[in-house]
Amino acid sequence: MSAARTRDAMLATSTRFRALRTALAPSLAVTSLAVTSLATFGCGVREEVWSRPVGASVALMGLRGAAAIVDPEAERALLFPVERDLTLAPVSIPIGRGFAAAKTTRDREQLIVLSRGDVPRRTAGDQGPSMVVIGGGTSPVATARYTLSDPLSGLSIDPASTFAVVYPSASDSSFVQNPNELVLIDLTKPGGPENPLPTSLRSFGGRPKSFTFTEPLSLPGGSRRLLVVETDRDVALLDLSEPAKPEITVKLTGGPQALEPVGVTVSDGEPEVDDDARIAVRLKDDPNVIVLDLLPTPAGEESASPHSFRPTPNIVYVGGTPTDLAFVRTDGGLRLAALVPSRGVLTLVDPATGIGSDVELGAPYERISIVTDVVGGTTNGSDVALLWSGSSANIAFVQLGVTVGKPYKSVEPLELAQPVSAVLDVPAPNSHLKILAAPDGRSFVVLNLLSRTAAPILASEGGTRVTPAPDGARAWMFALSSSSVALLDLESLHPKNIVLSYPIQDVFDVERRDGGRALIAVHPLGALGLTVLDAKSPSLETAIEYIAVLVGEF
Amino acid sequence: MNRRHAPLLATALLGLLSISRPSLAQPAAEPTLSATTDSREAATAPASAVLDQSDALTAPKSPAVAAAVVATRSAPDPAIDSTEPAPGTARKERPVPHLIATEIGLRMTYIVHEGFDPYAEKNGYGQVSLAGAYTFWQGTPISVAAGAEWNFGVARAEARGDATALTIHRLAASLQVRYAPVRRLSMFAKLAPAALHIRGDIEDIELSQTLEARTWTWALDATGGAALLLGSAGRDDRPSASFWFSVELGYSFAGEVEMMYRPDSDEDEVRHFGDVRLPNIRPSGFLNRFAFGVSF
Repeated sequence: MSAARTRDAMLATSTRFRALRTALAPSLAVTSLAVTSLATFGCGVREEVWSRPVGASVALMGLRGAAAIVDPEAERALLFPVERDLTLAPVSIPIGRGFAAAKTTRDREQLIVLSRGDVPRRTAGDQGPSMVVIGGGTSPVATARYTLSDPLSGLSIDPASTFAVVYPSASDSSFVQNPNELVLIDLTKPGGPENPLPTSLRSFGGRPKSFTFTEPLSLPGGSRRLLVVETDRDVALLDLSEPAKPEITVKLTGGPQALEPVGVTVSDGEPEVDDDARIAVRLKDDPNVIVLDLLPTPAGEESASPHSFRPTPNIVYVGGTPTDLAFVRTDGGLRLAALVPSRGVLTLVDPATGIGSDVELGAPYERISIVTDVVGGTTNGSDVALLWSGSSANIAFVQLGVTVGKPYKSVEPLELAQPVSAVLDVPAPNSHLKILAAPDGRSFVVLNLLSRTAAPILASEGGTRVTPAPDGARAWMFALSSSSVALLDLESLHPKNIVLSYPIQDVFDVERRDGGRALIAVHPLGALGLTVLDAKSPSLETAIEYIAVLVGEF
Repeated sequence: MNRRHAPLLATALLGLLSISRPSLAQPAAEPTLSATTDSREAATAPASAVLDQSDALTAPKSPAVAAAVVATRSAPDPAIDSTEPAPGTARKERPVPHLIATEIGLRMTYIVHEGFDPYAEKNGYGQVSLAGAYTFWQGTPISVAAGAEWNFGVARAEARGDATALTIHRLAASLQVRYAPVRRLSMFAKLAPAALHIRGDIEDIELSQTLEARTWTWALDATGGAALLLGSAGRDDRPSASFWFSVELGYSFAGEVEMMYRPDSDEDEVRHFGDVRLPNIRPSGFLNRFAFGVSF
């Protein structure tokens, strides 16, 4: 009996166990599905760009057919061409990691963006330094990419849009660095073994800080362009027609005190003469000017020198520390004009003889601009110069012909209400106009070079900026942190004020795809806003606003 | 298919392997979420009578046939639900199946499309799920039901410093085939075409604007799953309600849509706004859903 009971009990227990197991099996199955499915919910990562806010290093530029925003955090340049109805057709172009610098060419036809790449490079997927060239028309597109060997941040663009120079800037901080190493890129040719072309300047302890691309010069051996490199103690000349040739370095410092070049001016001389081209170098806090005559390589040394010309330096004393230089044509021939505000004179020096004569100005002027092309020369083809100053409220026109006893025809001063801190050129057809800006950012003058009149334009807010439109018909005025923008018609000088919805950081007058013109105002808030208006007839009724543009358009 | 799908594939495989195979020796399964009127006739047999397993599988249609198979239960043990009835015990009678079922649960879609990145830091997208179903054909152990679902969820994140939100309403009709091999377990396969209403929001605080994008697209879910009976209320043979826990896995196909944003302006707004385009989004991917349901 007891055995049977035990047997029944065991059977019942095993049966219960099997029942329990059977009951648990589906429960476990379903529960495990639920638990593991929950675990997968938190998987996955998104692209890093979404986690990067819009940084303060966003760069804004205007091109011929679009406004450009370089967005370093998203590794792209965002271009905004404008349609006929003022809507934008954004184009996103990748620029690579490590944005370093961006500039437009002078004609606004190209945007050049320099990137340092990944520093340091640890994997095959890390990007190297590069430079991207983007077309600035109404259909922007990347036209060229150049691979560089070193991550550098300095960028200088040829005014003729033919060359670009990449160099180490003060912000580059590699472990070991050659500050005189330059990379020259021919923008008219694709990338290749010879383009970009690295070169290292021979230096006497200095580092490059300024670059000047000359016009074509008639030199021994043929016409060519030169790249004048100013370091902090010498000047180097590169032959742009044969950049592989070693440069010519002109050492300026002979004694214990270093002479620092602070500006150059170039003259081709007579076009039909190939040995009268000159380069004048202004020195910091020094009353002397170094004039480099570009003469033929001396006879007997042609085989030893890779160049067909050689710069021969001459020291010219101008009587005081000059603030600006220019080569000018007078009735007596070519002269080097040096503005010496400490003496209130314009010194005219014969570069051939070194003999100088002073033009009394009656006031200290600091900057000179040759305006002969606009106002027309004098009887014998002499130049007319415009002088202005940031410390005195005067400008002057100097006609550089010769009258008896004087090296000039006349000095015609024009008194203004405020000193002049900047002179803006106006493109044709109003190239006879200059817009003068005062240091306070409130006072402006539209100077008519032909009629010698100065029309004041006043702004109610300090820090107002003025931007002439590329078609020369108008100028745009706006103040940072203000939401107002004004169109100044340069024919009638009538201002039209428009109040936008947000403060303005910059404005760009661009060509529309239908040939019209549009104004794009950039608002530096959040992920950036844009307001698009018709440039010729701006109106809020037709304006279109874009909010948070940098969140999209990927 | 890429490595981002691996976790969900592993989940599916693990779940499927852990489901026990149905055994013909098990007693008749309790009705699942589906029920038909035909089975009510079978359920009118004497309360003490239960159907033999083979009879249960053939789903007798007439009470006379059902009454012909009778067994006497001497000492039923409610704790036992074994593959073989204990000596001296009687099998349970199949309860009256339910026609109507409702569910509330959570649906999660694993969206790997790059268009989802502005709205979430991870690929998972969760939605509250409400569903209802009506069994229009009841066999044993197979049944077919038609249903409707409404899923709603919001994903939030930051994109380039601006707060973003993605709201998806999913309205779906479903066709479900169920197989109930055992009393407590029901497996099903489901197809659910759906309409998706997608709304995106971007809030730019500094510009004091909220951008919106609204669009519609299609979707089609192909899923399979299992439901576990947690318990019943009422009589064993005629429960008034049954409580279920279900899990389903599958894939959601969906169309790709543009996301064009502009501020939502009212009639008084005189400003004109242009569109800012974010990446297109395709809200498709592997999905899992679990829900608690009531059938009655």
